[in-house]
Amino acid sequence: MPSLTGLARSKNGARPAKPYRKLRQQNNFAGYVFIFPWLFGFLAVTIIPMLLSLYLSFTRYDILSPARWVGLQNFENIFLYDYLFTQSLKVTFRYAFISVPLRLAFALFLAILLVQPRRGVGLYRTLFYVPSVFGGSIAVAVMWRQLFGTNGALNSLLMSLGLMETNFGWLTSPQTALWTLIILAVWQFGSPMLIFLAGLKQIPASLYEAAMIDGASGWQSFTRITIPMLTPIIFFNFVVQIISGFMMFTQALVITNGGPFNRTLLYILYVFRKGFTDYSMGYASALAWILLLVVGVITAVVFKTSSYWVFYEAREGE
Amino acid sequence: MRKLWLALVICVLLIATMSSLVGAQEEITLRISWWGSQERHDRTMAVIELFEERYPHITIEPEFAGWGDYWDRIATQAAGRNLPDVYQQDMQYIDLYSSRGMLEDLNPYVESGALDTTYIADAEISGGMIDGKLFGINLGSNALVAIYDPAMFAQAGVEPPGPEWTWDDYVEIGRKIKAELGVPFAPGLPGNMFHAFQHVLRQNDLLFYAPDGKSLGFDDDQLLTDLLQLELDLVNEGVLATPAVRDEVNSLEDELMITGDAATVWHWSNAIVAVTAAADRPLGMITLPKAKDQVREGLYIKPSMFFSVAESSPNKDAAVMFIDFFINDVEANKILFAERGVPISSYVREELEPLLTDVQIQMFNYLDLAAQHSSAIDPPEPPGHPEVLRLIEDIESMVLHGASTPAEAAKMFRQEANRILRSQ
Repeated sequence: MPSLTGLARSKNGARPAKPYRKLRQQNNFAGYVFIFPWLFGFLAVTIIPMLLSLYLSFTRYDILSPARWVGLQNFENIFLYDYLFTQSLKVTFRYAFISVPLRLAFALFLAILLVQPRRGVGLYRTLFYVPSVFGGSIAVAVMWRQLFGTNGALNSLLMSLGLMETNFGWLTSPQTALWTLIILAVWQFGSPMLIFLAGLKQIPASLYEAAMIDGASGWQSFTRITIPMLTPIIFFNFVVQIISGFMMFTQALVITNGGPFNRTLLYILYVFRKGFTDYSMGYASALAWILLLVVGVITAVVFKTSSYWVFYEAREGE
Repeated sequence: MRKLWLALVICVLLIATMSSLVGAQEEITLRISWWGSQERHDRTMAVIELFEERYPHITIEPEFAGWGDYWDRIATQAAGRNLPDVYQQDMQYIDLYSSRGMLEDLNPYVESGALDTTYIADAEISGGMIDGKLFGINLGSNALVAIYDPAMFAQAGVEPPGPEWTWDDYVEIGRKIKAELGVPFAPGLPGNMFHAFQHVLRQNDLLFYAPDGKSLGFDDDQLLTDLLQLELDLVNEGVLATPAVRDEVNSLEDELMITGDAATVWHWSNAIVAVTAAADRPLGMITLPKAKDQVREGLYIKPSMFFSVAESSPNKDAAVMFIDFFINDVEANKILFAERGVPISSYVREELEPLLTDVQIQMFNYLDLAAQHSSAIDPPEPPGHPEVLRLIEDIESMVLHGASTPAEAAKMFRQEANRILRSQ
């Protein structure tokens, strides 16, 4: 009876290498159990649909009839003939590369204000984070429409201050429409702000003290100490925010819905239209995979350049 | 004697089994789906209850949603081969769905009499006909209408136009209203860019889409250029509202005419009930302007929506029975009360007439007037239509924002629209 002998052996307290490994395996098992919900979700609602969409990108699929293999035809149409593809890519690049630096600058500015110990700073940190909690909601998007609408709050403010004569359609003017979305993005500075706050607290006070003794001004210690010490955090925030900038959708749909004449047609909005309004799922899948490649390339470029401007303390100490 | 008894017993047995067969009708569950407002949901649910009372062996599972959600859901159900037995269809989608084999041809049911068309004119049916097959039954008739505020016209000293008014009158009246009242005559061209341009094309006896749906149906860009130029001029003069002002209109209640910020608004005729309710004052209805030397009437009578039977339905007979009840039963139509548009059965119309409110009588009368000043409807829009619709709105917006000249915009429209249609 092997089970009995096994039991007896363990009773004897002889548990060197083998049972230890078993224990470790048991630990792994528990780990898998704990991550199972995530793992299941990852496989079922991310990986499998992704592979399916990769397949669909080589087909014509109008939902109503079965997908039909067309090879590279979708990609050919996208790259050679689709002016809305180039337009939406342009809009998305503009949006991401304007809104993300602005948002990071604003987040850093507030983080520096909030890192100083003063009364009620905890309350301020919470208050400043609030826009990020509901900034992505439909309610805020609807409010934004009101704010920038022709009969909206901004116009009446500007007119009562005498800065403007007549109402201006901020949302419908091709020059300003995208900016309303960019301002909304900048306003949601909460999460990079918190990460900057944590980063700022990590900078040893001794560095500032030393600089002060050497007679450095506040600006000098900001540019020579704060910024270099924060570069890993800036790098992290930049990558994360650029990726989320490329995925902007909900507010764009509600606030401008691509108008006027596609000046705010963000990429995901275009993918959505192709798929769900025009019933061109294959084409939409191809668009989605192109975006994945574009975002991948941008991230890779940012990573490549990071060695020139990101400062890692640990590496210096090696 | 014995034989006689035996024969009698057999007869009794036979009758008994037959009648029990007739009595035990099969239980049927029908799924019925539609889009619409709360008002439509309430009315349709009440008719469904009436139908279930009348036919106790049929149980109906209703599914309803707003316009956008409705089409997302129907597409998903179609992909899952799980379409409702009866579902509402629209001119924009009926060609797409029928060409994918998702709709049942209802002609055999009309021929067999299961769908009673005794009181229904052919013109009312033909909207649901594609290549000789009947893919949907019209649930009510509509026509485009210019709704105007008579009080504003009186204030401006302008006589409201009659059905013979032309595009020249349109511009002249518009300018007078703007000069006298200082507000735009209308929010935009009648029916917005697409319908206005289709109206112009029809007046020239041209089709928007080629019969095969693979390209545009007209060759001359001048008509579109002229219309864009007209709109641009009128917007610059303040006769039509600017795009920024139009963008503020998100619901019926915001309509410029309702708030007194314009003298007219365009709609489909069944909207007059809701518009009058929102405006809370009597309004006038007039047909769209004619062209001076028009070849053909631009206006047309449009099926507001259809009921179609899914090709995949296992209960097609019951589904047809429901549609027949929906269009022909007087009690049912007293509940529906022309909410989907003027009923197509002349018998139902007569029965409803004594019950109608003033606004509904106005709607019925307008449809009669429109019928006298209209020509046959164009074939259903091809599958690329939603994209082309967005395109024409984009080029209109480009012109109004000065990003493109009317001629350039018309040229771009042709090029892109043909590309979209070709790739379908």
